[in-house]
Amino acid sequence: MIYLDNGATSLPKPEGVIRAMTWAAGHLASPGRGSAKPSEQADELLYTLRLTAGEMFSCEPQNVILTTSATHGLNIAIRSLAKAGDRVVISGMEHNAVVRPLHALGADIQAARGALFDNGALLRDFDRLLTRDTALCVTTQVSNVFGWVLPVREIAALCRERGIPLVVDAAQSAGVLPVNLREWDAAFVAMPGHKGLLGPQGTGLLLCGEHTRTAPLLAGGTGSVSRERDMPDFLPDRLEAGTQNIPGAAGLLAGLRYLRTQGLDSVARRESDLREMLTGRLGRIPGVRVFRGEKQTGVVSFLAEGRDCVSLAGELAAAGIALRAGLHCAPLAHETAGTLETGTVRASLGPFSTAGDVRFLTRTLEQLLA
Amino acid sequence: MSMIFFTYRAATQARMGVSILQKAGIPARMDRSPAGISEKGCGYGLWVRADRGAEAAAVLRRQGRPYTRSYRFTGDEVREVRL
Repeated sequence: MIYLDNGATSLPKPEGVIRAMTWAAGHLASPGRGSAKPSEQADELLYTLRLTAGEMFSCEPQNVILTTSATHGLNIAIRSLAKAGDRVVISGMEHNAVVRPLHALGADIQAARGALFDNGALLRDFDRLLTRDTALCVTTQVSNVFGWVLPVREIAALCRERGIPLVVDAAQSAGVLPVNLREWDAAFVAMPGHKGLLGPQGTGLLLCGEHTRTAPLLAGGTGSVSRERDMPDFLPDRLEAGTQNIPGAAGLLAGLRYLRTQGLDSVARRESDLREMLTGRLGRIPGVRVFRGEKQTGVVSFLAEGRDCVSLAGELAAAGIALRAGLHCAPLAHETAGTLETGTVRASLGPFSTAGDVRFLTRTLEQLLA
Repeated sequence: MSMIFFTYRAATQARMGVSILQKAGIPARMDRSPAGISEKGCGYGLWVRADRGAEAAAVLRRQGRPYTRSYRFTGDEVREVRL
């Protein structure tokens, strides 16, 4: 199987991730609950994960929250900072992980738009929309449909000068591009553990700004201040009710360590080279429309003239190529790009993708479309 | 031997305290708070030898990891101390 669906989840995982998870499942108890070694070791593991993530993403360790996914983290962030009727500005590329919680909350959602890959136009629209009465700004760092790298640093600057809290969705960027909570002065940055960070599904990290208001999504046991009926007023406990996913955390820590060993620059450069190869080859196939731009990661959407994208992806799957087709849980992005009616086929590269994978995809596509 | 127990509400904060003290050359061990001194139930803290208690307290405050309270344990006797 040629796996080109790393935007959904990264596959394969580094061997160390599987080993770490297996060891944790067989040896570690629950942190903060017991006094014996298996519980202490679990506690140490979580601390090391927070410390490692804090170093990678410029966040104090106690402000690194373990979640089950980026979606979980985004829900915490949105519920912490917005309420019904609040004006919230988002990018026109947002995933349903942002749009749906805002909709459920009853927020007044304003989407900043621009032509695909046009950072200047997008920034001008953010500038227009980020007014005094804006309660919150949420933006993705990279579109999960088109791989478009949005100008988060500049959006963060606009938010900072206007006193508007910023939430960044790093679902497609963590482990691929620099993510820096402090530099952005973001209120929250949410990321999954199982995509670019190479950990298992069921894990995620939510980075919290130093003085950010936080509202627990779940209330329950935290192994701390147990006589109090309110959730603790300190992090990370305030946002981590219940027993954490310890084998997941072990896997995620192993994933972070792998990335640190490889070097983020090296991972990004390799992915960029493969993406250039992919978009170049796709662009030369008659009838194929490739969505590409200067600021793009290894997430590439394309369409074949006259072919249903889901059926085409099915034919590619039958040929041994895994990718994704449809709306990718991001109808807003498709609406902005003008592909809401068709959807797209999406190939998403990962750290283990090869030039051979790219060649196989494009040759197979040529044969299917001939 | 007398020991000092510095209390923290959160395990993460206590663990950061251990790290700070160890870097300062002061042996420290993290533990759950004994039930008798855990006002709000289920706390954490650091054990440090009493003869290094004052030094440890100063380091923790200086490094921005102030503890909640400090207790001196000598045999069965426990009393809160200001360091």
